[in-house]
Amino acid sequence: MRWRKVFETNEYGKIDRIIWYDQESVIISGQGRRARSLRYADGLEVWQLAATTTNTNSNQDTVAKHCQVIKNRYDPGTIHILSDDLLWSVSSYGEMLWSIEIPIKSTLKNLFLLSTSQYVIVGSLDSNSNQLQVTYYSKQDGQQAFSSSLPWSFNAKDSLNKCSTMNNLILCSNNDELSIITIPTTTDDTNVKTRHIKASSKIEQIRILYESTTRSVILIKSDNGETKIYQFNKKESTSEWDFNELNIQMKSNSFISIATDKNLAGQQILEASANDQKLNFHVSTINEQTLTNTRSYSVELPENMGEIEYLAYSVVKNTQLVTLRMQDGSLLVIKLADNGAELILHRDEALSSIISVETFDLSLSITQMRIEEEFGGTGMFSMFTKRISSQVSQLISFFLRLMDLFTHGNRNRDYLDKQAALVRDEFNLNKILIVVTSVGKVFGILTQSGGILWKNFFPNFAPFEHFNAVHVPLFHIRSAAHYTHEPLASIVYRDRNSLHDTHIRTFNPYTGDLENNLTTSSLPYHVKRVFLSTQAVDEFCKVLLFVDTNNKIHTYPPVPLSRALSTTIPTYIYLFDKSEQAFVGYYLSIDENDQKTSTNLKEVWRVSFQNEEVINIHTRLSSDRVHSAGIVLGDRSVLYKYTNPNLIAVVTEGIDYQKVPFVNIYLLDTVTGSLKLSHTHKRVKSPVHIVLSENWIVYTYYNQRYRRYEAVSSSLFEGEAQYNYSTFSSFDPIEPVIQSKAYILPYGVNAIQVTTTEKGITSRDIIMATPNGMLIEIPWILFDPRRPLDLTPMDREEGLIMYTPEIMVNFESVINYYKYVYNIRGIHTVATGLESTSIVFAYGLDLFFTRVFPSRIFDQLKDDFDFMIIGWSTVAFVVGSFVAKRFASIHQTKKAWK
Amino acid sequence: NISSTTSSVRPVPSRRKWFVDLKPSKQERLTIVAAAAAANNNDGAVATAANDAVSLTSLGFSEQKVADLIPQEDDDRLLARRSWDIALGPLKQLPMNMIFAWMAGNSFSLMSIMIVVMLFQKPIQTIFSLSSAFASLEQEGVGGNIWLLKLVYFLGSLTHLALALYKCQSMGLLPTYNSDWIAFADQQTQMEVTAGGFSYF
Repeated sequence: MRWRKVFETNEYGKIDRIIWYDQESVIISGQGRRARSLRYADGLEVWQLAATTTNTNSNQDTVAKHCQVIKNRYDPGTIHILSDDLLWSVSSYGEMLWSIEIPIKSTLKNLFLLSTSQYVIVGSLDSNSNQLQVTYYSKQDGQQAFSSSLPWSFNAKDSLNKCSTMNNLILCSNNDELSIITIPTTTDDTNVKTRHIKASSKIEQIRILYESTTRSVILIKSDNGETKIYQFNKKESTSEWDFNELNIQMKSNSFISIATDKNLAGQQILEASANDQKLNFHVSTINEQTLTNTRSYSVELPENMGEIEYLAYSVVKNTQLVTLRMQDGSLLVIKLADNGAELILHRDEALSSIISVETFDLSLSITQMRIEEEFGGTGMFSMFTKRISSQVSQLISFFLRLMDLFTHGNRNRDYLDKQAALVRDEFNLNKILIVVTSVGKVFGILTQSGGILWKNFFPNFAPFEHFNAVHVPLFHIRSAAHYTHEPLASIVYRDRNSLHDTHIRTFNPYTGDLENNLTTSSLPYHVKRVFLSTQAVDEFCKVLLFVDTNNKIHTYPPVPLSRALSTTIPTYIYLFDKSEQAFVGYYLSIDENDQKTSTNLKEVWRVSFQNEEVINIHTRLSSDRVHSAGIVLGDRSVLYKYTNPNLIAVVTEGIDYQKVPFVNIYLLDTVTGSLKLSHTHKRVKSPVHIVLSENWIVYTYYNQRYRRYEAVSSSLFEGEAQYNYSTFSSFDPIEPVIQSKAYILPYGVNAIQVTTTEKGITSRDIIMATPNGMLIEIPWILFDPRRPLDLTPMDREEGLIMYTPEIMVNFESVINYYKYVYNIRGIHTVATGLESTSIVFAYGLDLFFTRVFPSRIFDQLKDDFDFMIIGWSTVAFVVGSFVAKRFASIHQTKKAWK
Repeated sequence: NISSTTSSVRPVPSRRKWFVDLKPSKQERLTIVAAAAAANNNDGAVATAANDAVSLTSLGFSEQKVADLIPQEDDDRLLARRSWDIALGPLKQLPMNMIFAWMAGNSFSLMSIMIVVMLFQKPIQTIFSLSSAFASLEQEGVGGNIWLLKLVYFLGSLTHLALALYKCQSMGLLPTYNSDWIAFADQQTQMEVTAGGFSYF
C-alpha cells in the first residue's frame, strides 16, 4: 500500500462522490459541505474547501439532507455541488468559483442538479402545487438567470429514490415505465419533452454506466431479473436525445461496467458475474447497436466471496483491469490479458468492519495434556500408577524425540512450526482471536503473528441492530479448558432476506470447521434475545438460551432448562424494549425435576424512561474479577466496595424544558430494577463511552459548553462495614455510598476499555483510543474518584494523588507508539496466564494488538535479566566458600600449634 | 601480738579474702623508734640486730594467716543477691531497650527493622538460655526459691517481648485491623444470576 488518507469519523468524513481526474481526484464529503483534492502520486491533500454556510444551526434540524454532485460535462474542470439549499461550484484546481444559497421554503425541496455549457440547473419540487420548479443559474457567477416549472407526479422521497439525472435528462422509474424528461438548456427553448420506455415488470434500478456530452449508456434492471441497456445519443444542435436498446443477453446477477480509453475506438462493456468461487467476465466493444468482439474470461477465486457488490472496469495503458468489491468485503483487482484473467490483488477489507471479538486459549500440547492427566486421578493407588506411567511415557517420548532429531533433522520443520503456533505457550499469552465482521465473514486470527488462520463467509448474514450500531452474539460454547474436547464457538445472526429468521452457526475456533450438529437455520420462534447458559450440559458444552417474542425461553439444542440453568440460584432476565423505552425484568423459576425445554418468563419489574431516550446499554465484561473486597484507608480501616455484578449502565439522552440537551447515566440493578446511581450532564453530547468494572464506572462525553472531552468516574462503596461478607444479593438492603469526580481529557475518545487480568489483583488501567490514532493507557488511579482536593498524610499513606482536573497523558503511555490506528470502534481485553499481563486488541479501521502490564512486570523476570552473571556468581560463591573453609581450617591448625 | 592488734584495730571488711596494711600503726612506729634509739645508745651489734628485726617485720607483714572471716550467713546473702541480680537482669535492660525502640522511630528503615529484630531476638534468646543462666546457681545449691527466680527472669523477658510487640504495633506491623485480612477474604458468592440486554425486535 503506497498511501492512505483517513477521513473524519463524523459526517464530514462521509464521501458523497469522487470525481476522478488524471493526476488527482476531487472528493466531495460531508453532505456536500467539503471538497478536497488528493493527488494520486503521494496521497497529499492538495487543497480543501469548505462550503460557506451562514445558517448552520437550521441545518442541524433537517435530518434528511440531500446532496447532489455533478461534474460539468462541457467544462470538466468545474464541479457543481447542491447541498440542500446551498449551491456552489469549485474548480478542479481548488478555487471556489461561487456559492449561493437558494431561498428556503418549507414546501420547496431541491432535488436535481443538471449542468449545461452555460447554466447550472436546479430542479426543486414544490410539494404544494406538485410542480417541479426548474431554476437556471449562470455557470460563471451563479446568478439566477430564469426559471420555469413543469408538472411533476412524484413526491420528494420517490423522486430521490427512483430518479437520476444525466446531462440535461431526468430519468424516473414509475413501476414498469421509465420516463425520460428533457430539460431545455437554453432560454429560447422552453419545451419540456417527456418520453417513456416500457419494461417487462417493475423497474428496480436505473444506473448510468457512461455519460458524456454526446453519448450515454444506462442500465435498467427490473425486479424479475431482466436487465436492459439503452444507449443515448444526442441529436445534433438540439438539446434532445435519441435512444436505442443495446442487444445484450445478460444473467440476472451480473454486473456491468463500461470503460473508455483514448486508444479505444469506442466503449468497452464488461459483464461480470460470480458463480460460487468463480468469476466470469465478458468483454465486448459497443458498436452502434450491437456488440462485437466479445471475449470471455474466468478466474478461480481462493475462497467463497459471495456476490459482486461493486464493479469498475478500466483500461490503463492497454491493460484491462477489473476492480471488484465482493459481498464479503474483499477487494479484488483482476487483470484481463490475452492469456486469461489473473487475480493480482486480494485484500480482506472486511477486517475493517469487525463487530464482535472473542478470544480462545490455544490447545494444550501433548506433554501439557499428559501433565493434566497425571494429576487427574482419584484415589491413592490410581494416582500413583498414573504418575508413574505418565512419567515413563514422558521419558520414552523424550528419547523418541531425541532419536527423531538425530535421524530426521529438519524434515518436518514447517509442519511442526505450524503445529507449534497452535499450541499454548507456557504463560498462555498467545491466543486465537475470533472476529465477526458486519458483512458476515468470520476470521480466526493468531495473536502472536496476526496471521489469518482461517476465514468463513456466511452469505445470508445480517447482524442485529444495536441502537445505532450493529451487533452479533458470539459465544464460547465449549472453552479450551477441556483438553479432551475441541473448543466450540457459536454465532447467532439474522437472515439477510427475512430478518425474523435466525441462524446459528457453531464452529471450531482452531479450524473454522462448522459443527453441523449445533448449526441450524430454522428456529421455530422469533428471537428477541439470546444468551449463554450458566451451566455446561453435555460434553462440557453450554447451550444457547433464546427469549422469543412471546417472552418464552427456549434452549438450543433443546435440553431441559433445569440442566442449563442453576436450580439453586435464581435467574433473572432483563430486556430493553426500544419501542416502549423500558427495561423489563423477568424472573425465571426452574423446578429441579422439570424436563421442559422452554418456559414462560414472569415479569417482576419495569423501569421506563420518559422524555429521554436510551441510547446505549453497557454491561461489565464477563471476565471481570474483583480480588479485594475493600480499600484500605490511611488509618488502616477498610472501605468496603459495593461490587454488584448485576449492575448495568444505561445512557439516555434528551432535551429538557429549557431546550438544553442533556445526557443521563444510570446504574440499574437488573435483579431488582432499582437505580443505584444517576448522573445528569447538561449541554453534553454523546457518544458516551463507558467502562464498568469492579465497583466503579468511568464514562466519557463531549462537553459542549467548554468544548472539551470530559470523563466522570464514580465508585460505589458499602461503607466501613460489610453487610454480608460471604454472599451478595441484590436484595440486600445496602444503600451504596457514591463518590464521583470529573476529569478533563486531553484527547477525544473513540473507544474505552479496562484491562483484564486473571485474578484481578493487578491494578487497572484504562485503555483509550483517540481520534488521532493513539491508544493511551491511563492508570485508573488517575481517575480515582477519591482523589482528594488537599492531600492529608492519611491520603498519602493510602497512595492517593491530589485531585487535578486535567488528566495528564505521558507520551510514554501511548501503547502503539507511532503505529497510529484510526477510527477504533472497540477494544477487547483478555487475561493471560500471567497475572501481570493483559492482552489488548483494538479494532476499527485498523487492528492493533499488544500486551500491557498495568502494575509493571511483577511476576516475571525482566528481558534484560542476566542469567549468566547470576549463575556464574552463584557458582563462584559456592566454590569460594569451599576454598575459604579449607583455608580457615589450615589457619586454625597452625594457630593451635603455636 | 602485732597482728592481733592490727586485726583488732582495723576490722576486716567482710568480703575481703586478704589484705595488707601498708600503714604502720602507732605501736609499731613506737617500737621502731624505740629500737632505733636503743641502737644509737648501745653498740652497733645490738643496733643491727634491732634493724634486722624491724626489716623482717616490714610494713603490713604478718606472719599469722588471716582467717577467712566471711561467715556462712554472709555467703547465703551473697548468693541470694547474685541470683536476684541474674533474675532481674532482663528487667534492668528494659529501660535501655525502650530508649532504643523510641530512638528507632516508627518509619521503616534499615535501623528500625534491625532494632525490631533485635527486640525480638534478645528476649527469645534469654528465655531459651533460662536454664543455663541459673546453672551456676543450681551448682552452688540454691534450691529453694530457684523457681521463683526463674519465673521472675521469664517474666522479665516477657516484658521485652511485650515491648517488641508494642513497637511492632506502633510501626503497624501487627495484623490487628480488618484491612490486614482483607486480602484473604473469599469472593462473595452471588445469590442471583442475570442475563439479557436490548431486545432485537
